[in-house]
Amino acid sequence: MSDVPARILVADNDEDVLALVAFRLRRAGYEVLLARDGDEALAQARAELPDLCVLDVMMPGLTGVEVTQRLRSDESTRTLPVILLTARVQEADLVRGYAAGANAYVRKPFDAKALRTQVETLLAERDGDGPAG
Amino acid sequence: MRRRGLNARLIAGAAVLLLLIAGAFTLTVTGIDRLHGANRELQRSLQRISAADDFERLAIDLETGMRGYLITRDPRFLQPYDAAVLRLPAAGRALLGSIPLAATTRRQLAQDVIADIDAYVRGYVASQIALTRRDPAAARQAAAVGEGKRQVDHIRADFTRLDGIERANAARIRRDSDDASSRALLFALLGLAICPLLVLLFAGYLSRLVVLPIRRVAAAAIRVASGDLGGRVPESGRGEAVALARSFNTMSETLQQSRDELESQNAELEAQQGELERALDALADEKQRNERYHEVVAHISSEAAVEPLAELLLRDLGEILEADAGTLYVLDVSDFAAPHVLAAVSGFERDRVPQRLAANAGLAGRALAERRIVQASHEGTELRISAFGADVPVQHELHVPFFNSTGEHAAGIASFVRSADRPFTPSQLELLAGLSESVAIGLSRSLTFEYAQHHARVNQAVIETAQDAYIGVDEDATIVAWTPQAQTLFGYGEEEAIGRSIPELLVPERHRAEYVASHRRLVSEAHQAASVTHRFELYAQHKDHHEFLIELSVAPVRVAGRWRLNGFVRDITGRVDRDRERDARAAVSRILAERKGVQELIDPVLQALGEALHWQLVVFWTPADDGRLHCRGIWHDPRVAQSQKLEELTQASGLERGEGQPGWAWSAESPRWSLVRAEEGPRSRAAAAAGLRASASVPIGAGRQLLGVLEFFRWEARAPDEELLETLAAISDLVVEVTERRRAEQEAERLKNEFFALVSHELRTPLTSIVGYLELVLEREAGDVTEQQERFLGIVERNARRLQRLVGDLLFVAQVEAGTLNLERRRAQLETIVRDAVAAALPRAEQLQVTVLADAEPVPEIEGDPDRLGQLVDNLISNALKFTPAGGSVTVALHRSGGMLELSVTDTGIGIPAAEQARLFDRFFRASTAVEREIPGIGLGLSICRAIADGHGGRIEVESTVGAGTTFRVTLPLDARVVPRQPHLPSGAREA
Repeated sequence: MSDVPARILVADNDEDVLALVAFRLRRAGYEVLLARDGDEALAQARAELPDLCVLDVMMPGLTGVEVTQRLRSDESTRTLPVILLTARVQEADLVRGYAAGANAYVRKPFDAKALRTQVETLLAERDGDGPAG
Repeated sequence: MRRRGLNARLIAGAAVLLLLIAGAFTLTVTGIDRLHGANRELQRSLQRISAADDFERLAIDLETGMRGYLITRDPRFLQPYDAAVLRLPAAGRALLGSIPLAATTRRQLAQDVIADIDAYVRGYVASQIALTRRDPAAARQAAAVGEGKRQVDHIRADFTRLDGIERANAARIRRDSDDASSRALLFALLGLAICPLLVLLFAGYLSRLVVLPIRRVAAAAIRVASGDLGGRVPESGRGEAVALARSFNTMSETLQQSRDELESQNAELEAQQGELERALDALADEKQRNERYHEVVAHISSEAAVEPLAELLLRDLGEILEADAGTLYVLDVSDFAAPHVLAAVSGFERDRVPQRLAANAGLAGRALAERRIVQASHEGTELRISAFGADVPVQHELHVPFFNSTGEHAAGIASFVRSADRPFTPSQLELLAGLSESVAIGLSRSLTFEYAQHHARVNQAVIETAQDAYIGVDEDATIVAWTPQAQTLFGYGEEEAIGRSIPELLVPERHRAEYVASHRRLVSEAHQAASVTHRFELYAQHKDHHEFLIELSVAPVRVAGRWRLNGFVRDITGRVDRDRERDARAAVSRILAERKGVQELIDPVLQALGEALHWQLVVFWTPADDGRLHCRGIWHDPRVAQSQKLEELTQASGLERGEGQPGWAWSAESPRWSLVRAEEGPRSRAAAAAGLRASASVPIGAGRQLLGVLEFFRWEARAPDEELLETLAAISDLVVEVTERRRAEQEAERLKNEFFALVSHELRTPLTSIVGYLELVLEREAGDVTEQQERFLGIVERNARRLQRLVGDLLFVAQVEAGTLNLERRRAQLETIVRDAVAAALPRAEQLQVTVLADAEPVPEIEGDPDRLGQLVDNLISNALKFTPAGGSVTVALHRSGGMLELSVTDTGIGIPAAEQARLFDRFFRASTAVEREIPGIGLGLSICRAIADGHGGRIEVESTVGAGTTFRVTLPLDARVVPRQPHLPSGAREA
């Protein structure tokens, strides 16, 4: 991990969950950006170009899946790693998420360790595969 | 060696006699013949002498003539010469011819003489004569020489010698002749003397040989003929005579023996005559018995009714037996304990005799049981009977059972008694025994006859009072009996029906061939086998041509050598229609249950209605936007051959409101039923052409809810059936109702799925915060936590986790319910899954002080969802732990068994009552044992287990004993394939 902490955008319409995720990620040493719905998440991601996004699926306005789709259609955010956070567990949802371009899935209620492992893995992949930065 | 017969002897004797006579005769004849021969020889000898003399004379004449001429030269002397010269050759030949050729000496001598004379004549005489003529001197001189004289002398000497020989010869012949004549005479005399002698001898021989024996035999025969059979003849003599004598002797001996035998036989015959006379007497008795027998038999055949026959028989048999009293019981099977009932009484007072004869009771019972005549004597006993108005003693009694050769029960039993001490005689018993079978047959026949009469009366009563119509039909289906009920049913009176053929009168034309075939089959079956009742359902035609369904029960009965079919007919239209309507409802309900989409309901429902209600063509019409009815579905019975035209017309164009029957039913919103009339339009014409004769139209739904109109066609020209229309209306309502409900259900399903989606999201989100922040606090992220705080927060966390699991389970069950449970297809190693689950359960087990044992053998991988299989094992283990008290154990075993994997989780827990085991896997079901002990749970775990096992093509079972423990056994096929579940809901409804 580089000295500059990676920036992670977290989007969830539930304040408590948003704060919980943000807390966990900050604790793990990341810089966290917050968004309270899909539109805000998309705008932030485009504006801030974070290193990784953790998006809740069920949000008012754009859902996490839709945000992911849009990120993938935008050149600047095409390779941005996305972890979907969801209470939905049905296969169809998973499929839909992956089809939209999500890199990983974390179920609610989430296990802090699992989330952290996913984040670390994706960031390491990006550092190894992507352009230096 | 045969002795020579008389015949041969006589022939031999006669032959000898003939030979002797012939010999004597031959000798005589030979002697005479020889005498003749000697005479002829003598004659010839004398001729020869004369011929020689003649020749000598000629020679002398010649000599003399020549000498005279020579001397005289007178030519006269030449005359004898010339005559001699002329005769000389003939005389020579005569001489020579007279000498036998055998006499060579004499022939030689004669030839020499002839030659000498010839030589003398030609050589000397002729030359002398010629010389004389020319020179008489010289001639005399020459003659003087004497030459001529010498030649003549020589000839003469020859002659003399010849003559001498000839004379000697003649003398010898004469002697021989004399001898011969003497011998002939001697033989003739001898023959004359011997022949009679021989004849006499032969006659004597003949007499001794033949006549004497015959005479002796004749004399003996006369003696025999006169009766003296001791006469014999000596067996002497020869040949046949001996044989004759011997034969005679044999004959007379045989005759004597025969006479002796005859005399002894005569004595026997005289003895037999006595016996014959006795036998004749017996025959007369027998004849009388026979007459008695035939009299009884005639009585038996003359009476048909049981009671009079019984009276008659009792009288006849009583007379035969010379009985004083008697009873006759006959078979009456109404009481098997006492199958014989009193039919006739004689001599007893009727009311003192038992009316029924108890089986096996008394002597009569014994006679019945042993099937034989039983008699008994009661000399000196006190047994008395009531008879003749008083009690009289019974001395003898007799019981006769009357058995058919085939019958199990006796047709009757007669009992007779005698009050006098006079036993029944063997002859009476014999006659009785001879009669018993005839009596049995007669009684059986009468009983059968009476029984049959009774039944005929009962049958008649039954037929007359029955609800069913009765029709009697003969072998060619002609009606021979017809009841008022039949008239009610079919409309024809008895006089219209009798003599008509059933198929022509009562069966619709299209079913006639079928009916005739059935009838023929029935008759031929009746011919072949025992008659059996057959039951048919068929359409019948009323006099007014409407059709209705009847049930026909046919029983063939043999009447006077022909089969008669008794038919009982019942109108079952109503019953069958109700059955069909029930079937139709059931069929439609089934289709409604199975098919979800409205469109895919149509064809099966049309078919079900057609088949169940027996309509041959069904059309479903629905109103369209153009305000007309259009065909949405059509079904026809495969047996309807020519329905294309009707179907084409149906599908080609729609119907206006009020147009045709469906249009009318639509506008009137009520069902309609009518007979098809070809003149009503092209569709009616096409329907009639297809053989369809009635139609009905029923609207489905009403008003704005009108779904459409069902139109039915059928073959039978049935009268409108209100009940059927009602049923159709009811079925229509059912369809409408189900369609409505289906819509409501779909809505409910959608709401439920939305609800589950909500639950899954909206419950999990707060749970996420609860669990998340708890973890933070427990991880001391928010500062120190006291020991007590930590314990309390632990409780909060545990319950939050439980809530979390509960939400997961609810969601899982919801997915199973909705058919949206999707199992992954991966390689699943069950052994690992089991070990992991056991390991995960260990901390909790330790807490509960329950031992957990794993007994998992390595097994092949299966295709399946490892997470769900893990959930299955987890559930079973956590269940087992939950219900097992401290100190107990839980054993998890995994084995391969053939093509299956067997996973079992056994505990030593509280157990599940047997009655509840079947419901154990139902959702939200909780065993009473669990509820009583207030063991927490909501009853989803096992239903989830079952769903997972089912999803892998496996099975879950439970064995349990209350208080002893429970075993859950899951069997999964090794070649398990995840069973894909087809979601039943429309895709839109699944959005959650």
